[in-house]
Amino acid sequence: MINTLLLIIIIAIGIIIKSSQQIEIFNNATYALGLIMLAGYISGDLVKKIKLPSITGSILAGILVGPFGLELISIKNVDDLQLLNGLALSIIALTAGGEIKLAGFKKNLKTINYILLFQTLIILVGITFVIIIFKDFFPFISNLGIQSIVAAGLLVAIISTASSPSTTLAVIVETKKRDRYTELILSIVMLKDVIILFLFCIGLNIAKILTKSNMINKNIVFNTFFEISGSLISGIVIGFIIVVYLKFIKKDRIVFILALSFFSFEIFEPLHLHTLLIMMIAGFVVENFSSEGDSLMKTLELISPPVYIIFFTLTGAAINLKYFKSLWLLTIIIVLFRALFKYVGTYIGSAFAREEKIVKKHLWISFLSQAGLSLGMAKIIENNFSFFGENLAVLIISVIVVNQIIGPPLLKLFLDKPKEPEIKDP
Amino acid sequence: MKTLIAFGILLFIALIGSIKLFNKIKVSSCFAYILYSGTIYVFFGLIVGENGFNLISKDIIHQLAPLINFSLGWVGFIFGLQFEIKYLKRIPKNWYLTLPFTYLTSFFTIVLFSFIIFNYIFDGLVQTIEIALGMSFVLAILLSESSVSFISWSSKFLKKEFLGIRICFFISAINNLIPIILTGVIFSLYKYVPASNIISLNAPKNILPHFFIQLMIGILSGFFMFYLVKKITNKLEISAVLFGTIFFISGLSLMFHFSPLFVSMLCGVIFSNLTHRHSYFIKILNPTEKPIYIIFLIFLSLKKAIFNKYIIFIAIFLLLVKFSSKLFTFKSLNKTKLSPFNISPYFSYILLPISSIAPAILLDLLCSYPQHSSSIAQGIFIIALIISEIFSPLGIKLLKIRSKND
Repeated sequence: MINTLLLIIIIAIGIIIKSSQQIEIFNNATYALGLIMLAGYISGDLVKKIKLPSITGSILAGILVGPFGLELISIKNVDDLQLLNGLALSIIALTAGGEIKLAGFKKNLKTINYILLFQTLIILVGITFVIIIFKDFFPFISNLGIQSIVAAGLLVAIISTASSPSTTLAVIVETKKRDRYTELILSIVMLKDVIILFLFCIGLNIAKILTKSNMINKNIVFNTFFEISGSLISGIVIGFIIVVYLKFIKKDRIVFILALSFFSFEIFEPLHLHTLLIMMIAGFVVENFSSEGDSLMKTLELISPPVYIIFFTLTGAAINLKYFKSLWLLTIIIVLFRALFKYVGTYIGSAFAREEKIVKKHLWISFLSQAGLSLGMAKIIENNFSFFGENLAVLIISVIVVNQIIGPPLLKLFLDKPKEPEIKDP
Repeated sequence: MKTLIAFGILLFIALIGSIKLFNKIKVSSCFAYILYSGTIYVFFGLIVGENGFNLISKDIIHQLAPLINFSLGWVGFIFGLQFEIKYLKRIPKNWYLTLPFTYLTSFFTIVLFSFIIFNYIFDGLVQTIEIALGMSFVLAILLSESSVSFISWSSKFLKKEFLGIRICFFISAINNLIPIILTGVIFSLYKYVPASNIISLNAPKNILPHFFIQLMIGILSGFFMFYLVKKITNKLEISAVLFGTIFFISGLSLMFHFSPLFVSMLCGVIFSNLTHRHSYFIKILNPTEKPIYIIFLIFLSLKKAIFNKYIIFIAIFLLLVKFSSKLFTFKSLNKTKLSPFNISPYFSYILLPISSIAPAILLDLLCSYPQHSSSIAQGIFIIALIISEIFSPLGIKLLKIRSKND
């Protein structure tokens, strides 16, 4: 009750400030960040009462107060605060890497491989066919030749394969569940990100060939290989730096992790290396190849709540529901078929790995959320395909919006499901 | 991108500073104290910033302003958190009656002399009598302050002077509280018009309402924060809510031309007295104080300040005024029946350094009044800070000698 009242007070203050129409002072990043954190936290706390994960509340709060909702913060505010997203993403990735234990990873390797293989294959083929079959529902490609339709289908399919590591991790951290299933989910989601980077580069070139675009980049696969191997090496180096600091200097770990995350994002992004991957590897190295894993995870736990609130509320603030409004039917078609293919892929993969019933039947709901990487790819499509790029990007963003809203509660649902107790090795 | 790198650099430096590499140095020299207090970072800022090699551009400094704005609020809040009535009641009442004079005498004397300097001697430095008066107030607020960290450092060398040190700690707490309140008053007295880059006095009818609104926002946000964290037991969630509220208050303060330091301090005082988990919050928040303080020192010296022979003269002169007025107050208090103690007036020597809340106050003013006269105040403050710290160990030695002779 008191939290609802406090949320109303904050929104009322925001409305008063907005109505003062002093645009110069309205573009105040400190105020916007405070508003985002408070609204994000309180909403997160409110939705917890109806058993939803708090990040769903933060995302909804972001939509509400953001520039496409009540406009309590401006687009400039959101753009300014995107700087913090880099920091947040680095910290989230570091935590995700630290959550994966080598022993558990080895134990789950068969299941991980099969699920990854079948999910990726089935979604790639399935979504491409859905786009071809339902082409008349997509006005911006229906008049194009079959090759362009296949190209569009392939691009949507590749992006549909992705899940969001940051959202997955945030829900896992919130539920405080650490078991075989959480490790399985995180490993699949993170490895999938690496695979998708490759797939997207190849898919982009195929799509360009199919649409007879003259902007084909022959070195794209080589560049991707360079970027990923560079990221792996950088991740190991960053991991080593963290180990040395935590082992020998020890003091002010929070400041160290914050500074390192700032640096990593800002140094590696311009080099076209993948900060997400680098920090995941770094976390993995510290956790599995040193004695400082616990120390790192404890430090990250101290930073994570504000980081998650800022990150997901900002994600919500950047969501423009007008995309969904204009393409709601197509969005629902893609969302439903993506979910269906995730289910089929996970089921067949788990069956091959001889997994238990709960994994076969229900694990798929853990892979529905979509965020950062997919949005980035949508932007690339928009810039590369003049015939359908813009509309296709709008459709993809619209699908991501829906998946990002339904994904976290469904993941929580899976994590909350009663499972058979784990049998420990003697 | 450059903004983040710059902030990263600041954080790294703050980190190295907070490691306290130099804590083990026991030598009572000015070099040791400059390392201990963090003033070394002022030199660093002077070298890499706009006053030196300009390695960090004006744009980056400008873009870091929101983070400084938040840090000011954060420091104000932590400072306010220490004013728990339960604890304050333990201090003898007559201390409250007498010890504020140690600040106020210096304050009014410096106001008087500064005003004479700016209005009659170096009248070319500032444009109007209003600004001369404002500058005098600002310099008096800053220079009358006493450094807590120096008293803490002095206590290592003055172990026998327990009562004197305890009183000096109390005095320095007052010498930090009053300046923050006066900063709130300055924000109500003076307005800044960005379009014309002019600082002018507020209309008299607006001064009291402005101050009252600052006061109310601080108090109400204290209640707001209390109700928000009342039921939270998770330390991590508490930090998120505290961060959010301080960001919100600091942002609001910046929008409506309030002092984030003053408003957040009020929030901290109210929150501190409502919550039952006071020591718990202090434990969570205290580790953040040192890195933020170092960031302030660097940022303060990064920004373009005015340095010339007049500025150096004014800084030295005002330090002498401060020194004499503190000594005079101690001697006078000892003679009155009001005084609750009889300590050596030479304890005023260790109240000379000025590096506690003063850098934060100056930054607060620089952010809200980005004008030529603020750069003059900044120059005078930096010179005074360095000089006062260079001579600070001498204060301990003199105090020791005088105490022995007495």
